[in-house]
Amino acid sequence: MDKSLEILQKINWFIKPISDFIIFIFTTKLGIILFILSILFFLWLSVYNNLKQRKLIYKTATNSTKIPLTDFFAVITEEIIKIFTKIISNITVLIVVLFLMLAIVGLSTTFTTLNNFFTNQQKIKELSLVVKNLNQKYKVAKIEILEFNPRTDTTKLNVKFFDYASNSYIPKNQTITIPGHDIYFLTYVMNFGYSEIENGENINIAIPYLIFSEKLAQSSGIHLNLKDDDGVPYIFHRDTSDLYGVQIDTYNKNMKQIIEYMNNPNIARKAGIRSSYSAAPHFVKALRAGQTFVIWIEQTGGLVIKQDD
Amino acid sequence: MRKLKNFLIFLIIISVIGVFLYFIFLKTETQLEKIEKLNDEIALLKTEYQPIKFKVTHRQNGQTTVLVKFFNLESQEVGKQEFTLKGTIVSFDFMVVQFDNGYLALPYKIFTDEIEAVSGIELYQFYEKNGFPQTLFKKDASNDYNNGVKALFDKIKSGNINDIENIFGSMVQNNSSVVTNNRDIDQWFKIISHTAGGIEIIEE
Repeated sequence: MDKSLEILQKINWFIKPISDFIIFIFTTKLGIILFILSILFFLWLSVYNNLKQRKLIYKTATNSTKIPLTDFFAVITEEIIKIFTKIISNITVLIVVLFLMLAIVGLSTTFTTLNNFFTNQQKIKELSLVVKNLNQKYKVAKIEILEFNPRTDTTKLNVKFFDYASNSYIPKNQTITIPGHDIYFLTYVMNFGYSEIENGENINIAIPYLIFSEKLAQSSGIHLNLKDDDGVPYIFHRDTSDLYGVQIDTYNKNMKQIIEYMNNPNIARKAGIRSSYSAAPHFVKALRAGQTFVIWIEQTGGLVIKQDD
Repeated sequence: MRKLKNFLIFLIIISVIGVFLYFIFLKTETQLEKIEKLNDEIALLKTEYQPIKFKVTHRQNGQTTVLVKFFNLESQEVGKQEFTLKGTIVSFDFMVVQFDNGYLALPYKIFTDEIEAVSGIELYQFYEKNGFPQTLFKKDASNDYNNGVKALFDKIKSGNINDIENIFGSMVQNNSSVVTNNRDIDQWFKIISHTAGGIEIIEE
């Protein structure tokens, strides 16, 4: 289809200017004026030539260069009649020319319409992909409220991390009991520039690392330390594809690179990272046992927390 | 007779092409509408505003002084306040609430790594005017918008949030690496709020 479209565009590149000219001449005021003026010019040329010849004849015959007024009008009338006679005698040719012009305009309009149709179709495809990529959000962690004790104002909860390597929540979870009921999940966040997100080259990074609450200061917070079989905390368990474009091939390098991005904004910017900071989404409404919340990272930037239905 | 037959075939072909082109033309119109809609959707997704800008002016003896400026949706400054707080990492807490077809972020509290959120300083008073959160002020706003925001703000301010359907808290702070190296001293940072509900800090 692309090749056919290319051929159509090439043909149209040649016939479109002709079509535009025909449309200009016959459909615009200026074009019509120019058309009439050129006919009048042609008439004037014919009359002028005829008068010149008449003058020569008169000069030879009467020795005078002046043509009588009656002859002058006779010449004009004669020329007009001549033109009309020519038109009538060549009507078939004229009709063919007219049809040819119509065909050129029709063909060009057809090509332009088809070209617009396919270009728009392509544009819709691209824009839909941009919307999809920007609208995308990714799971970071799931929090299950196991118990809330209003008397002591303590919350017991389970934290499960989403593992992009297996595309599911890690079966192991960390159970935490914390004073308070407004629980903050402190998370390293790295947001890529829109251009990186729009084309789907990168997804924003979120690594939760600490829990605190409205009653427990961050400095006394509880570290999230679920570890895999190799002793590596799951919070750093990422598939390398999550860091696509960052050019890291080993796990340790991943970590080093992330830390470097956090410490050096210039390097981060060069890698297309727009912002690097910590964020803590938290519940603000009344809690009850059995509630489940999911932390998401938005592709437009930042984290959100939503109750899991 | 044969000529007439050929002419009729020619007419039918021309008519079929004409009808086909007419439908393509109609489809193109629909396509243009769809493109416009998609562009609007992208613009909405990319919509962001800056309710707060902050700069740490000094950090000494376990205390941090931070200058906070509040801005409305027209990017005009609507208030500023300096805070001296115990601790090193300054946190800005927001109430993020769904409104119309996006989320709005209301600066809620300021606290630090050493201060429990419950003891943080409430920020509403620094940008409220006549009961309206000035950070959400925009010129030519409809009455529905102004009344809706005011009602929502009233509820949030009074802590009556349990009947608000989509609301959550969102705190942001600079990474400890920025703070440890004092890279945030005298450096402005802007806090950006997105229509999807995310909040981010961007170094100016």
